[in-house]
Amino acid sequence: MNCITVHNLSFSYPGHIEVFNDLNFSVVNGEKAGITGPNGSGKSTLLLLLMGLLKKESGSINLWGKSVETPDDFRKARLKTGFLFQDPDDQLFLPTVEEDIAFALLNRGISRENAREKVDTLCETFRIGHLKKRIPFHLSWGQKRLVSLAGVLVTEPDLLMLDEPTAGVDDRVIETILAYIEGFSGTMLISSHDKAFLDSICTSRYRLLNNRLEKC
Amino acid sequence: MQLEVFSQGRSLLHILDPRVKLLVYLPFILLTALSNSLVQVPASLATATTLAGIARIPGPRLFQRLAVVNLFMVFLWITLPFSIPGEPLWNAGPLMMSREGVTLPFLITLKANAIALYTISLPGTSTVMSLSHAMLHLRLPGKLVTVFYFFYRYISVIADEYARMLRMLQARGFHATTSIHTIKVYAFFTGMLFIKSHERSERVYNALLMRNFHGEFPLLAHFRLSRQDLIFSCFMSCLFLTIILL
Repeated sequence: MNCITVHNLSFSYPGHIEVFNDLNFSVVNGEKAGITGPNGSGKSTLLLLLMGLLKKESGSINLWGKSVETPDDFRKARLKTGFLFQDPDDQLFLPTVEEDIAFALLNRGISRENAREKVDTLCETFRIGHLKKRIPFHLSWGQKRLVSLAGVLVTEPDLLMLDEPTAGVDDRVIETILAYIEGFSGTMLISSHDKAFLDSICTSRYRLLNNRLEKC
Repeated sequence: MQLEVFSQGRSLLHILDPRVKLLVYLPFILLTALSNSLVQVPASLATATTLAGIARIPGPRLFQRLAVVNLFMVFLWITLPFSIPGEPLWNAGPLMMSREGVTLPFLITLKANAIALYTISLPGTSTVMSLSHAMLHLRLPGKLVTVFYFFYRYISVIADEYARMLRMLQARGFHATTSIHTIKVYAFFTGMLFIKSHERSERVYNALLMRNFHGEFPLLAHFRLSRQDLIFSCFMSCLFLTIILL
């Protein structure tokens, strides 16, 4: 069964800057798909479109076999999806690291006790336990990346979308990210320029070029 | 962040429940703002100064903030003594300084400083996030609290963007002069600042949506009234009544 099915998707930014024109592709459940492509080819835009954070012009998006059209459809889809943004500063906004990681859990109505337990476990896994009481804005770039990833993974999503997860981070942080997401059993869509990272994680690769997504 | 510079600390006021601080803060600033008594207002200023002392607010930062408040007071001191009629205090040709004209800016200065000190010592010693959370607990309208929090979040975004762009300008050798070039650079700077801030705030909002934000601010650390909170509330209530009776 397909996790993501995109049919004839078209999208342009204001000013008639066409990004996609009749784009078609699908990702099956459990697939770890990597998307590469030059800067400005629309990798991040595609991820945002799939989650309804940008409004498509035409075409259809199906997630887990269901068409997602309305804001409510996308809201439900987001409950099953973890999205790591390119810039961790866009994602982190709570006063402490542990609050930031717990945010999505508490939004889903999970009790504080359970949320705290999950946060503690994840902090242990990511070796960021010592940062729990720190202010997220004051962390290093690599630490921010780990905290933002923890904030995404804490909900145990079925679908994980990572936008340039290794951009600007050192090898140690990449190893920590790899160690965790290698064991991730859901579907994954990773947009990245880091070919070595994609090679080590992905089961399939796509290349986005000239408004087309081709399987490599 | 700029708006939370006083929120980190280990003083009594830093560990008090933000709900208690808000409940103490509101009556005191209302009393200060509405009173015209030359006894009540100085008493309120003395209370606010004591609270700032208890909060162990660093002196230089505190004076920096108060300097901004008092800058506006200078204009009042220049104009009001000579424009309000009353009992003459001093005459110089057509200029006449009245007692009422001096009393009014004096009162306004005391009130402004007292309110600034209350704001720094009470809500200022909590993070904006916990204040938002406290407001929701105090049954303030959710939309109002959301607007408050987003205002804070986006002001910070604009401030961060401003600092980043300013560093970029300096790194590229720009220094302001009285030339058309400088005016042009500032015009582009302002325009770009708004565009970049707008785009960034959209990204922040998208990140919130992806983490299932629906207008509430749940926190892991939940508020629990402690003995200190109760003692502080009782003491401040007594102090409030005493100032009213003065």
